[in-house]
Amino acid sequence: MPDMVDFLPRQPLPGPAAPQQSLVDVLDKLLDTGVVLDGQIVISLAGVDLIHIGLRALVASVDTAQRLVTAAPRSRA
Amino acid sequence: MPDALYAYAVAPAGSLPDRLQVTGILPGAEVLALEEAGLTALASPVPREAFEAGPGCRTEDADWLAARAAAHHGVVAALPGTVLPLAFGAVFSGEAPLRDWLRQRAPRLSSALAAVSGCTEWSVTLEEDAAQHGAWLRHADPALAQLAGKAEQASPGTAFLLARRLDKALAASRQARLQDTAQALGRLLQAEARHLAPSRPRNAAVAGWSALLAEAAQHRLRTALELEAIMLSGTGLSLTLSGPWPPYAFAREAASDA
Repeated sequence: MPDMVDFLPRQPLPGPAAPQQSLVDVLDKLLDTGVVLDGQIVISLAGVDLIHIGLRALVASVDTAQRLVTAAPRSRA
Repeated sequence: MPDALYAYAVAPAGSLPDRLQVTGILPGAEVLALEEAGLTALASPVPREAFEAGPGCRTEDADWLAARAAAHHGVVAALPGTVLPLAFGAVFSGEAPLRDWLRQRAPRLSSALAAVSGCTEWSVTLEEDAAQHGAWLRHADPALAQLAGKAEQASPGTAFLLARRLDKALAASRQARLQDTAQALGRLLQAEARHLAPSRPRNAAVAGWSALLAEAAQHRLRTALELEAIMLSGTGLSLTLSGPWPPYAFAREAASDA
């Protein structure tokens, strides 16, 4: 049935052998979420700096994230 | 050599054990609980060079990065009770900056934690199979069905013009139904969610939401969405519900200027 209703709630937590779809979901959820640290930039506070990168800055684009997902399952080192 | 702290999440003080038996962001990295200003931050000692621009930087290695994202989520999702996830990639240059950061934002973080207490986040997406949606509308929409019928019986020249009209009418009908369905879903979610945020649609998704739901609301919403999904079945539109997630989207909004 081509129009199968995709409605089963998926457990999003990936174990070490998580199916690829879960990792896509995780990456999707992690993009632009979570408490931001001061505008996602490297900040120096009286000599002690606070580094924050953020997934968006790390992967540059969703396309990269998608590409990265296809390569993901084989290495978790 | 660990010379920085990778922070995962913030929880109320005393709600977590000092050392958690979970796999950290890097292999072998222990997950520590640091208490400050009525809050607990979960963090792992890491070498900062791996996360920072420079010769030891690993962040352009897609495999490495995907594994880190999975590990980050693995820790956040394994935490018992109420937590507020930090954005992926939060690295502090030491314990003092992390404690400073917490102390300065304690009131906002504490109220955000109170708001997520007893809730989990759920993702709802509305997806379209454009071809199937179009085919369904040609039959279900009386005006389109009539146009399609006329086009079939018309002479070649007229049929061409009618086909053009049909395409235009079909596109408008698709958009209208997508909009109506998305609005109805938005109202349904709004009625149940403690907090609702639109999410960035991916692939075939035409609309998406992150909903923060208390337990009773989860059950009600699931029933309502199941009914909605049955109604949409076979019409070219479908629903996906995924969860429970840590409150990722909520954390971003609630504490964005924390």
